[in-house]
Amino acid sequence: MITVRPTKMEVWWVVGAGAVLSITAIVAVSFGAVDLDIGSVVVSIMDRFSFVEIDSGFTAQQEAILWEIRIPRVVLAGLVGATLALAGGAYQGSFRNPLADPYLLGVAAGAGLGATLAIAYAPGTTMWPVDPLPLFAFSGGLMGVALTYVVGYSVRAGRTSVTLILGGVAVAAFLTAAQTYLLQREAETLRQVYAWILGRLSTVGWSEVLLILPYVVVTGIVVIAGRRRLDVLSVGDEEAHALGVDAPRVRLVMVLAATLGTAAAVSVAGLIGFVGIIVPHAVRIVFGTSYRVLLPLSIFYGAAFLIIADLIARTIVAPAELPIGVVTAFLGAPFFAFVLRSSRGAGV
Amino acid sequence: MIRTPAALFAALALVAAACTALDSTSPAPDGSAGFPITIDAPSGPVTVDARPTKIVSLSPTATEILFAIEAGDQVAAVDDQSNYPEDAPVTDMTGFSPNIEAIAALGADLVVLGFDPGEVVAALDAVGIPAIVHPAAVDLDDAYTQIEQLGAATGHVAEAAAVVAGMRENIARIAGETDAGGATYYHELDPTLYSATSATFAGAIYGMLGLVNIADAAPDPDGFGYPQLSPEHIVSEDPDLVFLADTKCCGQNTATVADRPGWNTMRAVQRGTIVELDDDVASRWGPRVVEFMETVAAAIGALVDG
Amino acid sequence: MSVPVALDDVSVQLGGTTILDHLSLEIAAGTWVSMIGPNGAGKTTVLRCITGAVPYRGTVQIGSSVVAEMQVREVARTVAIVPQHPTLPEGMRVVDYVLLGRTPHRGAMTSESEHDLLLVGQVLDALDLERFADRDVATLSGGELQRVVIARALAQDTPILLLDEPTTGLDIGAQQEVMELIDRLRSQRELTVLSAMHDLNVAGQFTERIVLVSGGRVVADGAPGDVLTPELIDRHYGATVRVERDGGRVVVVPIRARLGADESLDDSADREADNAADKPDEEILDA
Repeated sequence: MITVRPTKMEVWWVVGAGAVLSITAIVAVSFGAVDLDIGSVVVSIMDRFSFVEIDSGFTAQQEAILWEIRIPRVVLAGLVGATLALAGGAYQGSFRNPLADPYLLGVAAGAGLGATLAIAYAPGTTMWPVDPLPLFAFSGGLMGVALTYVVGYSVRAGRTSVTLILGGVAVAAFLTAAQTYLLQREAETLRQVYAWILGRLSTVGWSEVLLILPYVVVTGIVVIAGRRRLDVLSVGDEEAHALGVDAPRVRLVMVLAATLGTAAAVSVAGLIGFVGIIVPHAVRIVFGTSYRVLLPLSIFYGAAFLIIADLIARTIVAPAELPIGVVTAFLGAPFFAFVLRSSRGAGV
Repeated sequence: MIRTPAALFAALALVAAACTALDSTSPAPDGSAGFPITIDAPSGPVTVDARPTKIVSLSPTATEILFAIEAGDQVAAVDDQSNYPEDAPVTDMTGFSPNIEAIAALGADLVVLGFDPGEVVAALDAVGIPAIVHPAAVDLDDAYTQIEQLGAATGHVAEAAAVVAGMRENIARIAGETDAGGATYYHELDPTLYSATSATFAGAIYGMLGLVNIADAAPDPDGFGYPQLSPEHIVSEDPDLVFLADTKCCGQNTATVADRPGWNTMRAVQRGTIVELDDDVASRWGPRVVEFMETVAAAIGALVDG
Repeated sequence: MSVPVALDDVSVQLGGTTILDHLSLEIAAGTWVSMIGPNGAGKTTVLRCITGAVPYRGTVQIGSSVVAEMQVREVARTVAIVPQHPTLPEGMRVVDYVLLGRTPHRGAMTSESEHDLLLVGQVLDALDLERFADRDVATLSGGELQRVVIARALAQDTPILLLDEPTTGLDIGAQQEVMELIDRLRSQRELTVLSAMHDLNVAGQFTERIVLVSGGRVVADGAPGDVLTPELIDRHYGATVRVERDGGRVVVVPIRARLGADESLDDSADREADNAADKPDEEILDA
């Protein structure tokens, strides 16, 4: 009798992914619009993390650039990339569709509307105790998904993936129309909103990192905990039910968790596209279709991907910046075409 | 911009003004000297048949100019962004999507726009309403030409000439008195760090006073002039002066700027050489350019002294 | 220990159409009952009622427990179904697919245990699937796939096994193999088996009790010899057959109505029209 070897995570896959992420982070921290000597960067990091005081030789500005601007930005890019990739994978598993992305059920449209409202009617931080833009964007994103569920569940056979996706299409169209109407009325906000839509990490610091950390941690824990359930969902709702799994409930939990993290990421970084599709897909092509493997690896590779995209966005036309959404699109669109061409056709 | 015809019209108009001044009881409009005239606007020649009495301005800068050249009582309606002067007849109309019917219903006899969102000039032409498109001025001479053209189009050639002369004089005076000696500055358009290079209108003003723009280092292949800067660059360049042109639109001020990650190491923050501009004054190219320049000169003065 | 299944006065309405009409059926513990009937009679729906996949009125009981009151996982540990059209996940290996059968026995977040792996190994062995263990399920032929789906159901290790058209797409040899296998496993593990079959002969030869379902009701129930009669088959299938006895077994032979020497095609068409008039009128959608 053979030894049964189920598909599961191999240790060296995780180690490899960790190595990729570490190297990417180190490279990203070493380069930027301003040239900082790499040796001094290393010394500065060692100084912070060890008990010995070593002088990196940096001026106050250079220390500030490294610790207040560049490092938190790399950390945030990693968190956002990891979250979007993980959420994308969770959506793909929940809806049995490798083309699903985290914006499928109206998170993007809702967050966009929220951001537009904040930019048009509550600019600046002087009158509010907290910055209204991330708050509005976050709430808008959650509201968009809630609305999709209301629409989807109001249909009699409403808990199927197809109904929810269609509901999401309708809700996204509606919210986008509302946003467009608003932009027409407050046309001077056009440029700011457009800039937000393209995604930006340019003005972030540690406060943004701390702001989204609790949400992305929750997303990470819940989605990873449910990864085996997503593999069961791959045989369809009815067969999953016959195997003792309530598919609509799993879908709901996964969507909620993924949405929480996505809304948080979007609220500080704007609408960064393609990460949520490209990364899980690339991981799938290399490591196979099992969500048990795909989801944890998506965390590492999603983080690395966005860190690199951000590195390009802030160095390629330095000292000017490219919106990061442009970079991910430039990387993403050709990759997407390649995937569609080389996929097995029937099962997309 | 062609200035000779404007000078010619100015001369003609002066003569006409002299004639009408002799006859102070005759009212200005219809067929008086100076009309009909053809303005050589950037959008093409525009013929104004008679002195307009119901002008619609959909450009905030044009509104400022019209009132400065004493054509204010001829203005029937201005767009929702025209917030200066305060007594301008503000309406719901927007320059982004002009409503031709509403304009025609007002009985407009001249329309001034900042840009043509699409076939608006042609549509107005079809209902017999002359429309001038005056886009953002690329330099001071451009701005002067626009003022003169509006003067000619509204029958205020003399006033327009006076305004231009006054501007030239003040600007020359301020430029002569002020020299920043190569001090660096950063001009902020919005909190995501969009800036204006010295190739822009505002940038040119700063340049006249001897300031060096840190945004000039940014690659600008299409000459657009409005790059988004990296925060690392700004902190590293540590400009002597920071000008905020996003105080009204986006609530930025000295306090919010000091709060930004890493900015507290900048000398502009530490020494308080952050200037809160009026967004509108800093972005328009009308007579208030002088006010803008004075603000900048004052900041330079404080920097040099302090 | 084997468990009986009982449906009591079960009715199912889908989209305004009655699929099952006050149907009652009892399957004794450890026996194999085959449901036959024309397309759309409701056979698949009966199976779906037992797994709780479709809303119904009436009661379904497994042993002494009412299915509607059981947790989904509990039901999955008691009933396993081999669906007629299984969904094939893309890129999944046979081993992982069969392992899915162990899902009801594990928590949501736990890995497979040694026992799980052992059981799957045994099932693969019993069904002669060892050499396919690493293959992608989507690359299997009809017969191999059917065995894999059965393997998954067996891995579920339930006292009740439901089979929806288990011989679909199998060649004549594979059909016999699969049916023999199920019968063997039934006696080894004391399973209660309920299958939906379209092949009357296979049903007649492998099961002791046949239930004819037509129009959402049980219209005949008994030994193959009692249910597989030309009259019943004509009435419910609208088909003309001859039934022969071969030893203790029943063989159903479909015949084309022979033209008599003095009959024309029109006459025989008339005769067939008369027979058709006896058919039930309702068009029942295939459940």
